[in-house]
Formats: sequence, C-alpha cells, structure tokens
Amino acid sequence: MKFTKILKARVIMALVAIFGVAATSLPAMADDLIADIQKRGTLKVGMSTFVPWAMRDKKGDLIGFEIDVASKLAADMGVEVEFVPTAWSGIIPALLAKKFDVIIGGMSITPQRNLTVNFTTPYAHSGQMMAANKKLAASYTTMDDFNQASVTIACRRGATPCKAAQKLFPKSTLRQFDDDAQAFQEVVNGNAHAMISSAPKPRFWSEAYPDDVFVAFDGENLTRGNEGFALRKGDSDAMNFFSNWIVVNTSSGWLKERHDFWFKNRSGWKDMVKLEQ
Amino acid sequence: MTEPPLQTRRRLTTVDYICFGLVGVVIAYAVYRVSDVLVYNWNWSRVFNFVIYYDEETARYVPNLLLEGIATTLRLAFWATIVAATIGLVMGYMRTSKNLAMRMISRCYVELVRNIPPVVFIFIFYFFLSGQLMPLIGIDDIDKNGAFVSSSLFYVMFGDPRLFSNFVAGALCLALFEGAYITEIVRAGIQSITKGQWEAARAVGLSPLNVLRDIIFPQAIRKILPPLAGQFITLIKDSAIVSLISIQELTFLATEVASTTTKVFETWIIVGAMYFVLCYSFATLFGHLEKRAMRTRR
Amino acid sequence: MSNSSATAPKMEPDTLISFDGVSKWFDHFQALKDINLSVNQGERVVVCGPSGSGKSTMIRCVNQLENHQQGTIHVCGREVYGNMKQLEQVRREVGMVFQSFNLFPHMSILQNVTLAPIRNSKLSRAEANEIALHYLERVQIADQADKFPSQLSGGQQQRVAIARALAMKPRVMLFDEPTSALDPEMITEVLDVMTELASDGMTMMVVTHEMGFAREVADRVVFMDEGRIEENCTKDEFFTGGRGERAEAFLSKILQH
Repeated sequence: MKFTKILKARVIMALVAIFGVAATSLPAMADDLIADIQKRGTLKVGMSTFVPWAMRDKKGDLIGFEIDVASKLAADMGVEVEFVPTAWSGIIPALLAKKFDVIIGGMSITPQRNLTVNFTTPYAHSGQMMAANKKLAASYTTMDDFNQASVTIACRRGATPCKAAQKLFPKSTLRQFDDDAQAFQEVVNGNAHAMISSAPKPRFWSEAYPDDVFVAFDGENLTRGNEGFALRKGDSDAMNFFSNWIVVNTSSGWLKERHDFWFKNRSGWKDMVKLEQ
Repeated sequence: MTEPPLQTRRRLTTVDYICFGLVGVVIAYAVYRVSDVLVYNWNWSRVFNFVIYYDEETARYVPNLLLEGIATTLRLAFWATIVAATIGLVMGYMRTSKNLAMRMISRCYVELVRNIPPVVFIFIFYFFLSGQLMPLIGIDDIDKNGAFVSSSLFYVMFGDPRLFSNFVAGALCLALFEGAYITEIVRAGIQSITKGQWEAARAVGLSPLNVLRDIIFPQAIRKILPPLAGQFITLIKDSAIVSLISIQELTFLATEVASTTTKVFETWIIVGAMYFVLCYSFATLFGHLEKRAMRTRR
Repeated sequence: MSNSSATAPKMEPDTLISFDGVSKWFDHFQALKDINLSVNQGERVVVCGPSGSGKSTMIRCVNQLENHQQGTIHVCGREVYGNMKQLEQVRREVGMVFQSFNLFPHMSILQNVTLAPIRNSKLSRAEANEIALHYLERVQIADQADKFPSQLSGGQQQRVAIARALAMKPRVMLFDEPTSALDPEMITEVLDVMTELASDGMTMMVVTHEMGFAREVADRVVFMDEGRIEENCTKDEFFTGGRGERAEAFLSKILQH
C-alpha cells in the first residue's frame, strides 16, 4: 500500500515536470526588431573578441572594426549601442535566446548557419590565412604538402577556418582549440605544423615570432569568405534595413576605409592597445 | 609536583630540506623546459596593464578589466551565497520533515543537481530557464536612469546596470546549483542535533515553532556556519564556470585579454594568482573568525 | 505510611494520569501490553523492572513522546494521543526529567529555566527570572545561574533539569531514570532534591533502579516485565515480599548490595 502511494506521487511529479516543459516551449510571436530597438533606445550587439574585429584597448574598452561598424549603425538608427561580449561557441544560441538583437562579429555566411539564422548581404570579405612552423613546414609550398596524415593543423573550434581546413586538407590531422591564441601557440611550440585563421591574424602573429613561424603561401588567402550580420529568422523588415545600410556604406567607401584601417597593418591602432612589437 | 618534559619545538630536519630541494629541482626543470621548448615571448607588463593601468591624463592608477572582473566575481559569489543559503535552509529543513511530499521534492532537487555536471547544468539553465524566467521577472525593463539604479550604491552591489540581467542570470544559476550542496549541509546540521533536545523542548511545552526557533535552529546554525563559509569560497571558484555563458566575470574577461594580447600564459598565471589570493584570504579570515567564536562561546 | 506530610492539603482524589488498556508497538515488536494504571493527585509512584520491560516507553507515553496504538491515556482530565492539536498545552502541566538531562547547551542555566515560562506563559523576563531563581534555589544551584551546562557536573545539570521542569508549575512530574547516567557520588544530591519535592506534595511518577529511594518516598510500586505490569501495590506490600516470582527474582538481584 505504501509502495503504490509513492509510485503515484512519483508519476504525478513526472507529469508536472513534462507539462512544465511543454508550457514553456510555446512558440514566440514574430517580432518587429527595428521597432523594439527604437523603443528601447539601444541596439544590443553580440560579438566575440577576435583581433582585429573586436578587442580591448589598454583601458579595457572595446575597439575594432566591428565596434566601429556597430557604433555607426546605431548612430544612424538614432539609438545607443550596447555590446554583449559572448563566447563564440554559444553566440548563435544566445542570439536565438534573445540575449541581443544582432551578431556583428565577423561571422562567415555559411548555408548551415543560414538554416538557423538570417544573414544580411556581406559587409566584409576576409579569407583564411595559414601560419606554419618554420622547423616543421619550411619546405611545404603546395597544398598537397599540407594534405598528409602526418601533418597537424590547428584551428579555433567551430569557426570557419576549421571547415576550410577539413575541406582543403582532408587527410591532415585537425586539432581544435577554444580560441585562436591557443591554436597559434601550438604552432609556435612545434606541436602543430600549421594553423588556419581569419586573415590578418596569422600575419600579425607571425611578426612576433619571426624565427619560428612564417606565413604560408606568401600570405595568399586560402579562401575568400563573406561576412554578414546574423539576425533571428522571421523578421524581413530588419533584414531589409540592415542589408541596405551595408549597401549604402559599401558604396560610400566607408566600410572599406574602416576595414583597411584595422586589417591592412597595425600602424593605425598599435598605440591604442599598447603593442610593442 | 612533577612537570611534563618541555615540548620540543618542531624543527626542520635534514630530511625536510632534502624534500624541499627535490621540489625545487622539479619546479626549476619545469621552468627551464617551458622557456626552452615553448619559444614564447613573455610580456608580463602588457597583461598586468589589464589589471591596473596608469592613466596619463588623470595621472592616477585606474583599475582595468581584470580588477573589474574580480569585483564581478565577488558580487556573484556574495549574492549567489545568500540566495543559495536561503534555498538550502528551506530545502534542508524539508529534507528532515515528517511530510513525505516535502522530503521527496527536496530530495529530487538535491539528486538532480548533484548528479549533473556543473557545466551541463549551467547550459540547461541559461538557454532554457533563463530565457523564460527573465522576461517574466521583467529584469530587462528596469529603468536604467532610475534613481536607485544609477546610484553608486547600486553599482557597488550589482555592478554596471547595463549588465544587470546578465549578472542576475549568472547569480541565480550559481545559487540554484550551490543550493543543493547547502541543502545537504543544513540537513546534516539539523540531524546532528540529538533527539534529546527535541524531546526536552517539547516536554517543557514549547510550541512547534518555538522548538525550532529557540532550540533547534540556534544549535543547527552553529554547526552550519563553518561549512557554509567554505561553500562561499567554493562558489568563488565555481563562478568561473559561468564564463561559458558569457557572464562578465574574471574568467570571461581573462579570455578576452588572452585573445586580445595573445599572451596566454601571462594572462592565466596572473588570473590564477588573483583567484588564489582571493580564496586564500577568505579562508584565513574564516579560520580566524571560527577560532574566535570557539573562544567566546564558553 | 508517610505519604501525606503536614504541608500537603487534603484533596479529593483526583486522577492525574490514567492508562486504559494501552498497547504500543515499535513496528512488529510489542513494547506495551494492555497497560492499566492510574496515578492520583499527591501520589508518588515508582516504576521498576528489568531493562526492556517497557518502563521508559510507558512513561514517555504520558506526554506523548511515544505514541500508543491501542487503548486510551488521560492526563489531567484530557485524553492524549498522537497527533492531537495543542499537545503542548497538556505538556505544560506535565514536567519531565530525562536520563541524559537534555539541557539546552547554547543557553545559560538561567535561560534554560526561563525559556518555557517566557514563551509559553508570556511572562516578562523579570518575572520569569524571579520564578527561575526561586526554583534554582530550591534545587540549590542558584549560584551557577550564569554558567553554561557544559561547565556543570552531571549531578548539577540534572538538578537544573528538575528546576527547568518545575518552572512551568506542572501538576505532575515524570522522571525517566534520572540518576542512571550519574556517577555514584552525585546520585545522592539528585535523590535528595526529589525526596524534598515529594515531601512538598508533588505528584510524581519515577522510573528508577534506586530501591532505597523507592522504600523511602514511594506510595506505590509498579513492577513491569516484558511490557506488562506484573505488580501494582503499595510500597510496603511490595517490599515485604510474597509477590510474584518475577518480582522476587528482580528484587533479589537489585537488593544484593
């Protein structure tokens, strides 16, 4: 008798839990993002630290290409900008969970991602660049040289460079890390032959270790990518606005000017981050 | 009257010095290997700059990202401990209740949390619960220009108002997680009160409320406080986990610094030292307080 | 027969405790088998018997620290049972002294004694202190009022426990082996207090092995064995002999020394 009493109690609790889960999964209503942003008075932008897209200056403030783009975008909308630094591996789920309005973080447009989020037209094109260890890979000059099982390639987990590495060098051994700095460190230590990352990072980093690392393929980009803003699905008005903003600023040359400032070399912003190299 | 022989003071013997020497050799070897094989340009000042930097314009030392991170970590630990302690007190009492339903509910809660890895728990909470809970509480709608919100008291207690909902999510998450462990601490504390105390309190005619209030809880609290203090320190360390859901505490900001400067080693060694100083200081402080409490009790 | 002293007023026999056909089980083990017993106003009843005979269980049923499953128990005119409401009101009329004292370690002696009067009778602290000190003096421990239980000897603690029970001015006092946990040299001080209490007319039910005390103070002796009441007679009848087999066996063992 006691047993059935406990059993009944457990069944009831399980049912309550199931209904609780079901109730909270009600579909969200389609929203008007632009209107929400204007009502709130702030544009919330999700991004990730990624030199030189976004990084910290010596005072700890955010600077970088994304920061400039988002700031101008917000100014043009007549609102304040608020940055929500987010770990890259959780940035799309965070967007879907409405932690911010848009991802402006140098996110490459890929069909897989497009199934979950909407992308605007590209606002930047970067490529993937490779930095290789001098001792291990000095003689490697062709793509096939790197496409061997004995070659280890490092990249940042979940980012486009890893996909590029898998596609271009399928036979190589891939090692993924939580961020680029660690991946690059592996090459410097000689634990990996090469690492792939978005340009211009490999070039910047190689400048710091001229004896150990060099930029492979004479600095040519391995791929040409497209980066766009990422938005939640279901709001075509927001898509239209952001995409057209990009078109306008591309034609005026502002985007290219900013891109060159941050990516060409580091002379423009070296002092902001107190770089000595 | 015969006196016992004087206690000889513990002195370090030759064997002890040999042990120290061995440890020193191991450390020296590790350092040598690191500097030789790893080919790394150490740059401590650049990273230390992110702890505190000298602002030429105002000619003052200004705390930078990492110190702000530690402040957030402390705030998280503080508020999470308070909420977790409340949860723990209620749930812990329920664990000892005569009512079967109360015992089952609290037992479910404890077993659920203790048998899921902290990381998984954090993700479940963040993407599932907080997405539903936070809009309900209306955290995002607080008036950022309101009198209290923009005051410096608010800043000290909760940090930057713009990051408030982010902070609340992190604190709540940690509180729910640690609450399960505090529940067990409270339960053990209550159960350690001998049956005779309950009986004597009842026999003298105290109402059930007074039995708890005057006899049981005062004694239980004395047993619960030391492990609770330890739990606070554990929380400081566990708070690093919420960096995975982008709460802007010390560990998360450390990843940003490491990414920006690419100086991985310096960043993490400095941050590790910061956590150590924080935790060790509190541990020493609590040890002192406990000794003092022991002395004044009799 | 020395049960009524000069100071105790003659009263109508007033049954303060009565057991009617009471049985109690711990799971499948029957600890009390059909107990029938009554204690009247002014009576001093000593309960004795071998260990495991159910003496403590029976006395703890009076204030429902143990619940009975069969039969009825009446205390001060009210029936008591397991989950009755306002049980604490009955308990305020019944004082209990435990084998292991059970003083509240986080409170001073004075606070131990004043707690119940303050909480139950809503007395002010000053009034409660006055009452407490009165009873602490009666048990001759008033000078230790500001000490804590851990600073007192066993005998002293038990005397405080008696004062604590008396502070609620109960109509009947229960003693559950009050001296069994004491070192021999302290037993006397506690028994002396109990004897004095008896001579002032307090109704009491005492579970004990101290036969000397029984012989001097008791009106009636109840002998229990294996959950049953085997003997329930006056003190003189009990000690003169000629009782049942088990009672005789028990007595002969106890009275060896």
